[in-house]
Amino acid sequence: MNRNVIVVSCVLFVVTSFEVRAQEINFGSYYSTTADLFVERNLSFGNIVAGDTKTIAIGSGDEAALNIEAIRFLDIFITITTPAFVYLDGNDLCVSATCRSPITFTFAYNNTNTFLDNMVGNTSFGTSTVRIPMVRRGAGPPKPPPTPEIALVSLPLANVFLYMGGQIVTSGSETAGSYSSTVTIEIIYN
Amino acid sequence: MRNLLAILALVSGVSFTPEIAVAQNGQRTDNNVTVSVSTSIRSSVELITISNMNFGRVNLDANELRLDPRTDAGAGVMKATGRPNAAIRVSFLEQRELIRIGGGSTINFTYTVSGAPTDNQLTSEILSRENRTLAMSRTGEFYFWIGGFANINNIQFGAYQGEFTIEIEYL
Repeated sequence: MNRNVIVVSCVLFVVTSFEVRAQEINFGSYYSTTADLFVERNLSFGNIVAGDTKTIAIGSGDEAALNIEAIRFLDIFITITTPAFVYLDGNDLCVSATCRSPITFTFAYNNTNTFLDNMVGNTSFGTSTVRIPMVRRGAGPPKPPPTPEIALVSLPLANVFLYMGGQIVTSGSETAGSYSSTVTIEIIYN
Repeated sequence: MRNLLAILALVSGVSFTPEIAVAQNGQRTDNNVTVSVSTSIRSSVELITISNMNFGRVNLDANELRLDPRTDAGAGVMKATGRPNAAIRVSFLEQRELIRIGGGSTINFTYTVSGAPTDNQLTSEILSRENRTLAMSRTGEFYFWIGGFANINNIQFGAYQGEFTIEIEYL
């Protein structure tokens, strides 16, 4: 008899934890529109002498900038896929230090519904995926549920700016020439 | 035992609810874009000739040949590309001979050089043979305009050509 009581108690604990997750609603699943992405600026390091290191910091004016225009009351997931190297003539089949150079990235977003290159309110993030509200939520109680999608009714939009800096560390053995690679950024409504 | 089975069924129902909602809606609200990353890796300093010096047609009655590197459109133009913002020192051979094509006489030519970190001839400054420290631009460039002068009294009619050598050293 005692053994049965213990087993039931454990199962009830598991049920409680699932109930917390179930309260989160992915409102984005109920909208058919997609977010618009505009590349305002690519990431160009200019000239680097082999053997040198070059860093482009966020806020320097040379960082890449992306404008995300999406429904203002939804959250989005930003997923960034970055290359580990820049390649001579963009040839990512290269595996030698003579034709590729390691690159690392830094990221920040600004969801204060601001304008391009306004660095006030930027939030840095280091992971390749981040979930953010399109407009930063202030303190206070939760807002009401979002407006449903209605035919011929335009939903209010907001802009989030995503910034990307980076650092290239050359080994000194690279063949002189143009090096490039691409970063893929995906936006999904939560 | 019957109670226990009922609770397990509830657990399953809760955990699958969000996935059912997505499947019924059937829309993926996503978008993606690529951002290009680029750079130009250079061995050290690269120097290219953008245009050669050109005096045009010279009247043999003239005593002197002169080309101002800061103002004449015929000045030769060279571009150095290297380490951004680097301090550099420039040296060049001031006196060189121009040799008549086909043989014959030579002209002793004195080069004058001006330079600037941007492609703007009028803002360039005259560089002396052993100049002060200069700086590459923030994009790693430095421009040179090449002019000079020579005495052409009693020279033989014809086409003359010569070389100009400039050396750039990182500090």
